Amino acid sequence: MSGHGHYMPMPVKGRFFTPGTLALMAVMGIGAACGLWRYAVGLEAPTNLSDSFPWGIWKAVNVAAIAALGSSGFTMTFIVHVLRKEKYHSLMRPSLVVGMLCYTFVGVALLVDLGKYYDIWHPMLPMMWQGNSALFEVAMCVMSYLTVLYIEFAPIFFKRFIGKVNLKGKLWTIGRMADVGMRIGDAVLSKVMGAFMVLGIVLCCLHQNTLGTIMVITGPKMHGLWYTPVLLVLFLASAIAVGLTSAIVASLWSSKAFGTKYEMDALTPLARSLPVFIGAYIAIRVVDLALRGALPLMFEGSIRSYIFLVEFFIGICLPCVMTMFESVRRSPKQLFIASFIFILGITMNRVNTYIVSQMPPHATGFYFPSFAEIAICLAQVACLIFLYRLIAFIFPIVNMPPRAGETQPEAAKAAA
Amino acid sequence: MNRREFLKNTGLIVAGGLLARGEAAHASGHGARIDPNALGVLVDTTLCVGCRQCELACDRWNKLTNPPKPDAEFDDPSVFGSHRRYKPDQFTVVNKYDNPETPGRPVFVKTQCMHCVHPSCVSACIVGALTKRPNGPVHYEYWKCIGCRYCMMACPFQVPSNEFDNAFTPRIRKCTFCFDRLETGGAPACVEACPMGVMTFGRRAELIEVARERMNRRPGRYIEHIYGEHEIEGTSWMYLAGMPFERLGFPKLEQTAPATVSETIMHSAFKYWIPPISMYLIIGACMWLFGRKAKGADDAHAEEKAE
Repeated sequence: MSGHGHYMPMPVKGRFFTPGTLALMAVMGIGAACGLWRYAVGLEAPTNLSDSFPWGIWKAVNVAAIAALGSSGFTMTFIVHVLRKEKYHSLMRPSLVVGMLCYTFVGVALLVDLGKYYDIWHPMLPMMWQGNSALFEVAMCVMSYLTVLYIEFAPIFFKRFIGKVNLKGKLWTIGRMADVGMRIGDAVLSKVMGAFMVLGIVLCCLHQNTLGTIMVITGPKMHGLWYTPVLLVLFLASAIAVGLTSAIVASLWSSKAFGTKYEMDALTPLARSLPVFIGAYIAIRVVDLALRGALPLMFEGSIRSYIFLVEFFIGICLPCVMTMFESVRRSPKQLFIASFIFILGITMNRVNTYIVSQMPPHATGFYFPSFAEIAICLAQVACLIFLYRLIAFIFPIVNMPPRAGETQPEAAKAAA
Repeated sequence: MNRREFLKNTGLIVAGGLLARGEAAHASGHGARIDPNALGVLVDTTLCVGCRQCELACDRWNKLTNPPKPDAEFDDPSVFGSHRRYKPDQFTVVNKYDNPETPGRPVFVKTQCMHCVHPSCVSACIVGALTKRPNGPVHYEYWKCIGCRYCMMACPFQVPSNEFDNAFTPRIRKCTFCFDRLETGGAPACVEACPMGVMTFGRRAELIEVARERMNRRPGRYIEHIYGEHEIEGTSWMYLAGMPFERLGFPKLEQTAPATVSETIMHSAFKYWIPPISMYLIIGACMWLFGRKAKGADDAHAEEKAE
């Protein structure tokens, strides 16, 4: 198509298992072993969770932070499909896959973390609906949004397999039915996809802010540097900013991993919005701290205040300043570093809001994640990256424009 | 104190508008308001001698330890050496605090779930496994619970405990206010067991009168504060003490319940579904407008495919 002729997503070819992939699998293996341990004996032995600190990094990192990173899906959908900024089209599919995987792993994290994981479906029962609970709203929106993400991915899935289901013998009928089903599904979805995209954006905005509101009820136990009734605004603003950076990181990382050209034509202009969005987040946060008179707490000299300083100035302000420079935005390496710092900064913010800020009245000592908690946390992240790679090898996700003079029969087929 | 100040300011300044609307949301029935007949207990810490008969009675009535802990263990004074907290098999504890003004005469404080009037745990629970009964108890239903532990995060008194060592059927455990005894007109097991009359059981509203009366009758014996009368919109269990409550392990709390702040925000964001629906319509309209501007684009997704 004329507007974006360079855009040519293709399944990645080449060797799937590299040393990096094997390292990911090793991390996943250690995590899986720890997971088995957790299911065998409960949470007591494998984790450092306690009655004082009932939530650990599985909630803070694998639910709250990973959900924030999954914002890449809705921010890019808004840019590409609502604002119709065609030059960012090449970032859409990677961002969608990142979003889909992140939200899938929110569910996986809860299956590990919940004491009665087999009852995870309870919030769906109308008899148990609890409209006062922020967590209930998050659960409903995450489930709905995950469904929407799969629907948004479905056409990619259908197009990949339509006409390619070649089942022999008795299974032939089933294969035909699957093929027809996919054709119908694809035809229907192409007409109604816009409605689902808008729904996805709304659902995402609704629960990204509620992930902040979740902590408001713990207010009396929270440190003043993080507690504010407007946590919802902070969480939504930071989710939008971190969604953009996670789209950037996903693109740069996969270009590097799959040996394709860096999408700087799209990434540099996208990065120009980062100082604006991160800056807006910083501004809201500073105004909130100032209004509550909490600014002096930064310098109270407690461990929490030092952690805040690291989170705020290194994790959030530094990448904002970095991306103000055009040279940073044009350099794949520097842009990656700036974006990655911001991702770490927001992850730290989620950990701080959910764990570090907590000052239970009768706590003895402080929570620090156990080996098994860290192993399971990292294994989920590794599995996320692994699945991204797998999906990129099976489906046309990564942009692979033909080089000059090179013919691409696969691409021609995809265009048909 | 400083921190409390601006936590308060926060509520007033930043979410002022939200809170104002919240009062209306309240009246419309979110969270149980004080029932005039709701029951409560007044604990007079100045009378407690630390005999721990309440702990024993609690253990026996709720069949907490299995096999049952021998009676003698409840007489062991060495437990006062450390600050004890609730466990899955211990719903109430007595702790010892030294009073610098009366050396040699420590203060014993029996604590358990406060059974808040507007409980954070009930508001937080994702599946409604925790409910506030009209007659007072905050009640837990295991079969609904999914083990998310949000109630534990929410509780400002750090009351609920979890059976972390149970791999398959972990329960949230906390004082039940002996709801089963209350149903048949009885008093909680600990109240009945107390030999010193530390606890007075009755209608919450009347207990406040009793507390005032005691303060008036014995000037100087008590500090001018009924803990739980106003804290986070009130608790069913209330306390009298001869020294400041912060020094007896009680958190200093606002009068507004955290649940009120949270529910106000939640219900404002979903007021009659207007915010989500209008958001949907606005973004949908943008999509349509920008789509018309983008040349030759009938549907973004079809376009992507037609590449």
